[in-house]
Amino acid sequence: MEAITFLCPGCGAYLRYDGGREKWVCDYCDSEFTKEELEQRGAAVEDSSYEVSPGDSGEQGKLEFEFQENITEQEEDAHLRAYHCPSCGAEIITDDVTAATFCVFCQNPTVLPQKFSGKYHPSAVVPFETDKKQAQEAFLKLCEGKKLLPDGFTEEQRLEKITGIYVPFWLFDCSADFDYHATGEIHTIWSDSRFHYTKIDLFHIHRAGTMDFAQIPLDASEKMQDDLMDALEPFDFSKAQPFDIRYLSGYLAEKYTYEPKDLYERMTNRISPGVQRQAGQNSGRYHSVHSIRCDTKFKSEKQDYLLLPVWMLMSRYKDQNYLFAMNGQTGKIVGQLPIDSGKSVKWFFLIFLISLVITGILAFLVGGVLL
Amino acid sequence: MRKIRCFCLTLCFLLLFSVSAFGRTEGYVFDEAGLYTQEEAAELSARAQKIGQDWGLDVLFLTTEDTGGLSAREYAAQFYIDGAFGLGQDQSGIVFIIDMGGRDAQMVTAGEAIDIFTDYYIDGIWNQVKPELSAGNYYGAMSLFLDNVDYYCGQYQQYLENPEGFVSEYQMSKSNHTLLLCLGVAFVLSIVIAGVSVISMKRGHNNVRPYTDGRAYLKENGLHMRIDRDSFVSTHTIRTEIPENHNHHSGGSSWGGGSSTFSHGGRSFGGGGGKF
Repeated sequence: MEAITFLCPGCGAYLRYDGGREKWVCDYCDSEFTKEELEQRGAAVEDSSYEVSPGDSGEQGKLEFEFQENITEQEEDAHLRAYHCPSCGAEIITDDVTAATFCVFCQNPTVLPQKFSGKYHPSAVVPFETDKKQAQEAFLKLCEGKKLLPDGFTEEQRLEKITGIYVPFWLFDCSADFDYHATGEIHTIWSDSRFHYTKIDLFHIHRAGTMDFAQIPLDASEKMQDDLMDALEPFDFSKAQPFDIRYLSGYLAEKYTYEPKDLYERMTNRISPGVQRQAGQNSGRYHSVHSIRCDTKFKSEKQDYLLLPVWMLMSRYKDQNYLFAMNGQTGKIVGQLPIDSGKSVKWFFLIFLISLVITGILAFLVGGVLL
Repeated sequence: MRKIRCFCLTLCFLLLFSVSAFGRTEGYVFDEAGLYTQEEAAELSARAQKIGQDWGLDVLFLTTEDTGGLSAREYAAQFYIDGAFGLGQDQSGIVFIIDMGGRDAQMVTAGEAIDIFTDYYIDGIWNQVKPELSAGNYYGAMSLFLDNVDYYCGQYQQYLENPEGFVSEYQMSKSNHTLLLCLGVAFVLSIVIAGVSVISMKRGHNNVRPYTDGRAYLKENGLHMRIDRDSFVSTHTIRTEIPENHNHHSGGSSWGGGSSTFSHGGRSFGGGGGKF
């Protein structure tokens, strides 16, 4: 197998794709190249590499076996791949789903194109439109004004760990054949001198038909947190480019670990509430709608495999991992920030005391009126 | 039957008055149960007479072993009517009856005394005299009662002279009660505000929420309805009675709130008391 580094046609240093500028840049000579310029001048260099096979495990491979005791040696070997860094020649060990990475010694961005060959070849890639600095700023903005955030959580050292990654996604096109039943109530209210009257007219609401959905994204990597990836949406798929491995330079990238059939149930669970609400949306004339039942049959005939840009930051606080993700295209950032329990208590008492003073004064004023 | 009962009772009261003539009555003290010494009865009577003259109402002490099937307050009311007690046009007066048979003591008010001794003040007096009655110190209890009658009549007189400017004990108590209530509400409200604020701050730490329930991916013109039908099933009507607007007569004033009253012998009486 081969590992590729894209080199600067000007100085020969490595190139990386800069989402902010939407160009390939060389950090050494500050050159910038568009896709067309790269195609004209050529930018790739190859270096052959090898796979770690059972009985041929290098030192780093052995280390992996020691750390992951519940995996047998054979299984571990089967999941490991080793490459030579095209820049410094050091050995790069990756798992079998990583398709773009960095050399740990020289930080050289390295792409492993064979990982995206055959059925793993994405149909498209949505390139990054934001850079690391924007991701760091977005993270700082997310933390802004959070009074319960532990001290030092936004320190620069932590922010440096923000990594751009192309996450494999399946885009599902599907149709939903629905049969919706519900009971609707229309209330008419009037009164006479002795009684209030409420007349309730009951209706059986029946809706049936089909709904066509397009490009429902579901992350296809088992490493990714599903709720986090769902919260990152929407992506603008109109900006997707035909897959070009050069977009991966300077980022991590993974191939999918879930086949479409593995995600089918999750996909239907995601859109079922929407089908039910959409089916019942014409029930607005009713004062209340209840006893809802919506039987839905889903059919998906088309799935597209593509890579979507995501900035990730994993942070630890009090032995718990906190994962943040930013949509590399739109800049939308999601995540759960840690809470300092000491600060929570402090703020509770502070707000309590302030409220007590204000409401206490009001109480005296109200009480004083009667004196 | 009713006439016979009234006749018997009147006879009893006439008997009581006649018995009083044999030394158990001392002015305003009618001590059928023999709870006071001669000196105590004389002392109480003298004070009752003076208070009565000062404030224009009869102050009477009545004790009995047997109320003849009536409640203590009805017995006192009947006694008041039969004795034609009360001063002024509205025959104002107050009777303190101790029924030793039922271990019951009641203050029964008539005329203007109903307005003076509202439930609030009656309760206050009762709370003072009850321990003395329970301890068997009947004279002490009645002395306390007289002190209170004298004091509240004086207060009431001041109130009548300046209804707007006078701050009664009842008003003070009500205001203090309101103030305490407001402070309690302020305390609870502060806890709720602080709790809600911190929970809200904590919620702000997590913005991981699904972007859509799926409808964002519905194609334009992607909804094809085969059936869009609303069928009438049934109708029913619920009827609820409009609650009547009961205007409870509180009898309340800035002096002392309302008085609970009862009727006996065609007249209205107030007061209160309890077992001791």
